[in-house]
Amino acid sequence: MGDDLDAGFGFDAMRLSASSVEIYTAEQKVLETKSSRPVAPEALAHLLDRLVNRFGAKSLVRFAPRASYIPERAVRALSVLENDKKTHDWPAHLHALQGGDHLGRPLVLLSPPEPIAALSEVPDGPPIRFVWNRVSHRVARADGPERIAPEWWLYAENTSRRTRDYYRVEDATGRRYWLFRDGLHDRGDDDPPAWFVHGLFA
Amino acid sequence: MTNMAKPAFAELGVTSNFSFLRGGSHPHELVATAANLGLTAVAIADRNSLAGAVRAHAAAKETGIRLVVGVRLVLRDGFEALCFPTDREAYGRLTKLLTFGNSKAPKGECHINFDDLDRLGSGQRLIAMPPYDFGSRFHINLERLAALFPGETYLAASLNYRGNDRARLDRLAEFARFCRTPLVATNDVLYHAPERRPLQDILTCIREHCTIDDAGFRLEGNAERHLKSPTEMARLFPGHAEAVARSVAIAEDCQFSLKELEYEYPDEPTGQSATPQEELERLTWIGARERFPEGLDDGLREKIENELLLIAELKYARYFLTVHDIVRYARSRPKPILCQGRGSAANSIVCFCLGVTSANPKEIDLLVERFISADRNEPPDIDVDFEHQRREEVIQYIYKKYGRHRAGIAATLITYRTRSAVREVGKAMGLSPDVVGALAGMVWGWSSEGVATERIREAGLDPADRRLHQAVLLTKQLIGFPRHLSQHVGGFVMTRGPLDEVVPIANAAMKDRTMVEWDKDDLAELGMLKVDVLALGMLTCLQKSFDLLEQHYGLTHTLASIPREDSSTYRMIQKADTIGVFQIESRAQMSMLPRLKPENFYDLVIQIAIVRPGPIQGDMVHPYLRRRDGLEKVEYPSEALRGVLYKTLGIPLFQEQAMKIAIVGAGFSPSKANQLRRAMASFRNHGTIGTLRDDFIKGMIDNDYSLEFAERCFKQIEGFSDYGFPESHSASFALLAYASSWLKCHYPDVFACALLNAQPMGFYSSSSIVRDFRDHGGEVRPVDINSSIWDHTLEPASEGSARTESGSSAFALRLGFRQIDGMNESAAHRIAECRDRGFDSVRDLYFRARVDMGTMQRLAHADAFRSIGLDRRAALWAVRGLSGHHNARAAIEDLPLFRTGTTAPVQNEQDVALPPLLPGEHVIEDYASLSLSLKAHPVSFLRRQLAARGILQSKALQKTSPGKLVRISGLVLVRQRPGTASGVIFMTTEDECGIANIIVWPKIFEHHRRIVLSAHMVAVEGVLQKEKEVIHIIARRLFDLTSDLFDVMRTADPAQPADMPSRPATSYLWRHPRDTRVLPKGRNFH
Repeated sequence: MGDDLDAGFGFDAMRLSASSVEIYTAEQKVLETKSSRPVAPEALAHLLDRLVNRFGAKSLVRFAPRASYIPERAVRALSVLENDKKTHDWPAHLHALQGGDHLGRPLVLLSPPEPIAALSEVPDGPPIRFVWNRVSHRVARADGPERIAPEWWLYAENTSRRTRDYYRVEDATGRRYWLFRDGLHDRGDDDPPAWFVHGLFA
Repeated sequence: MTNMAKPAFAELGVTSNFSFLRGGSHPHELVATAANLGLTAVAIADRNSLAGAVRAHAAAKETGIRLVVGVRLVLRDGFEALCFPTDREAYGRLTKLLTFGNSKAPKGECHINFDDLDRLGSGQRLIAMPPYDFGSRFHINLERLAALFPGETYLAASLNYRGNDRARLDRLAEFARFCRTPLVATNDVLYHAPERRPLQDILTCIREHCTIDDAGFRLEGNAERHLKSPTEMARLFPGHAEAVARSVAIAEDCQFSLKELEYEYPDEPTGQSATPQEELERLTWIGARERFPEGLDDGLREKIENELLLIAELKYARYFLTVHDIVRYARSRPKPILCQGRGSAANSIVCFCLGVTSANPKEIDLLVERFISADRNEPPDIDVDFEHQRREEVIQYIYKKYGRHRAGIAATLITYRTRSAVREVGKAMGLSPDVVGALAGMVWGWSSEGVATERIREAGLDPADRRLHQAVLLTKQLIGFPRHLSQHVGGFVMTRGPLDEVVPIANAAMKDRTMVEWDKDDLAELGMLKVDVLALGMLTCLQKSFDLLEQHYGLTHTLASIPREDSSTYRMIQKADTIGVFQIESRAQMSMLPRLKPENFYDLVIQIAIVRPGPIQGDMVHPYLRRRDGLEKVEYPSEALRGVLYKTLGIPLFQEQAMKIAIVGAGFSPSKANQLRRAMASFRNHGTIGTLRDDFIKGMIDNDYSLEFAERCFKQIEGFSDYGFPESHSASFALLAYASSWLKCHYPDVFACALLNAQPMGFYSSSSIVRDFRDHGGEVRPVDINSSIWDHTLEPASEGSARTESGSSAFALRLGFRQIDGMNESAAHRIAECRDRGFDSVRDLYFRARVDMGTMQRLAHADAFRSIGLDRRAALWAVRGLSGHHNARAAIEDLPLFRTGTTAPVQNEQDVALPPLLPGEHVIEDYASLSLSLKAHPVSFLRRQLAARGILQSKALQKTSPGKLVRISGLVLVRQRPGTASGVIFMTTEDECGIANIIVWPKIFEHHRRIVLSAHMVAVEGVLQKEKEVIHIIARRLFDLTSDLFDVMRTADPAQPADMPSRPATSYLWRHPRDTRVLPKGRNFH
């Protein structure tokens, strides 16, 4: 790229495309970035001790992956004091969930998922339009469904026992949401399927 | 132009439960669902196996959908591709490839590498199955595959519902374009309907050895891998309609069907005859002259001719010749192997003439349609029993003659039964072992309604526990699922051409044994004939008896030459003095004998057939017995039916009678009658029985029988096909029962000796056989180094030999070395060879016979040195003095310097006075070493204490009046829970005088479960019951005396008064762990 480019009549548009991408795994090294000194590994442990003393063990949690397809169960909160010997391999977890070239699940999950009204093509088309908290969104792009069936061997009182279809949607402003329909249209359930938003993409 | 035609789809990527622990549905469920969904065709492609192909084929025939035959090839590196042959030759190459892969791998596995694939040749259709995350490795393999099979390779496209289906499909389409492997849509099916998903998850857990809670991502995330309709598939693959349509095109290319596997019987040498049929006829008439030396009457001649015509029409001549050849081989051995055909084949007069079966048409009515029939739906099945100890010779002959590439053993499909299913599901669901144990008994009665909840609570379980509920439901689904293939007992398939081009051959568990992937029913479905080469212990016993008879009495007898209708033999049978006799020695049989009192051959035929489980009991047996006893009038529903039923007093008892009722009473043709029998037999054929029932009733009405009678008749014979015996089969067995009875009656010494030499077999242990022989007055001599050989033998008797109905027998029974636990046969042979004029000392035996220390010790433990004056303790002492290490020879004796030829000991030891073993200890040691004792019965040591508690000896029962409460005690010999008797358990106990029969009703059983099932010695208090000459005790209470017995045997001397033990009692803390194993555990039978 050293030579001058002949601009001709000028550039009207420029397109940048990434021909191959690598997965970049973010790893947090330090909390503060001012110093360039490497931080001793015990420093984190000391910090945790001080925070625990101040706030109590229950207030400090760490997220660990759990091998479950159900999004709200795929993560569990462990007390920082719990000495869980397993190293938490988040990349492997995500890979197992959704394969190598997938965009992954949203960082933020709403707990509980919030009901929305949605319009979609029956039986399993993605939403075309949805209303959340009285705000209407028009869907520009969508991917899915990702069909997740309930873990039939468990009985949590407040989770639905129906199969969910998840969709990644992008609205007209470019924001991305993780929506799901609780229940399938052609399964003959007593209640009609209901729509929810479960998460937000960064 | 919009295509308004309905979309068409053929699902080719289907995994059934014959991909063990992966597929969640049976082949017939998948095929039926595919038919219901309107698919054009369906394939069952299991992993490296065609084991489920025939069931799928049968289901496809029934439902009318076309089946595409194929396999899912799973290579060693993980690459998977479906393979569908387009014609017969391509199919043969596929089965050859699978056989090749099986041969390289341990049982249950198939190792195929990419390079092996060129064995497939052309004419296949291959569909590569990409993994979820496919990348460059898959790309390489796909290109390789396409290069090997240009124009015949495709790429499967399926939806995973993981959220990136569109993108993934697009990538697959790119691959397809690049490699020139067009896309084919498939759903990669694992089960027929989404409801099966939980079971499929459980299968994954079983396979991965984890619980459902830990399985994590090994499970599928959704329930989408089920069969889908063409419309649905079209909707799911928008923009790829041609991939959906391509499935149909591929199915069109692959028209091969399993019915093209035309079975070709191997050729037998036909000598001078031009064709197999001619040869068969030649041999038949020769045999007929031998079998009927007085000549053939018209009836017999016509029977033979008709049957030969039928065989010619069905082209079965080669099959008969094959079986005849095997039997001929067995009989032509230097020492002939005794053999006899059984089952429905005994209905064939041709088989009788050929000498394959022994049911004589002069004694039994043969109904050939029970065996082969013109409706061609069921190929003949000839089962031949051989002496069990020599069956292997026959098997090796078959392998040698046909070669391993033309002969193979049929498989048996091992499926999950209740217990194994509960265990596996319970483990996978994370239930504790006690809960699993409690569930096992309840699976079939489980319901969500109130009725069963009490039982559930009683077992300590919570009826509201959903996981339990789920576990039970899943268990019920799992029951019947294939688990693995195992080798059939003796069913051989023999083909003219290479067997591995017909069906894949796999390794069986036994070394050097191979089996085909299909079981008996599969082979029958395809019209492939097999011969069952079975083992029967009684044939060994009979052959040995004939040998002994010749050797010691100078009499030559065969099965055919034994004098028939001997009244003393029948008298013995009527008294139920039948321990050791074929078929009529079981408890259930013995209690029937005095009621039925067989007095001729046909009575025996009936006796054997009627002691069977099922509805036959209520409808048939009791009315028959009542009529026989004169309590009920013998009458026949019509003159025509009298001909069918007169031999059994108007009650149908045999399968053939059921068929004949249909023929004579309802006007059925013989082949239709056979259809009726099969329709009743098969749980699967629900459809046909309805029309046959209507035909039957109508036919009877037409012949002037009442509707009510016709319905009753039909109901009566309905129970037959499962439980009734064919008359000819019963007759074949009756012949063996008669022969063994005659031998036992007239030559009890020969019979006992042969029976012991043929062990293990039969209902009773060696101990009981020996005791029975002695009870009849026979003399039994112990194992001895100076008299015994490996086998049990006969020696001239001293005074007082066994007395029976017919007189006395002349010989005493000498126990052989084989009775000693762990004894080595070659060592035994050496002892006999080197014996010369006898051994005079332990050293003498050790040097001359060159046996090892282990053998010396076993001989000493077995008390086999009595002839040189040493009891077991002294003998053990002397053996130890030989100073060799265990199983080795003392080095010093092998030094040439010391091999002086004399047997003088190198050292002179002082004689030691060893404390003598107590009699009780001797008996225990006898049982430990020989499984029996000639010295005393264990119970005799307890008799004093037993008598003090009011416990009678078994012989006292004869004189006790019925209805009284008695107490009896003894070793538990046998427990039997026959299906005839609604949960009742028969127990047989043995004390020093003989055996006693105990009946334990279910309620009593529940209270005394542990004692009944595990005690070695019991005391029983119950009511005495006598029916004719059968004495039973109906148990009320049971006590376990096992530990009392051992205490006494180790401390008491029966000659001394009970209050003065000769030695201080051994502390209860020290008990030799071997003790409880030593006494017979009792055998359990159903």
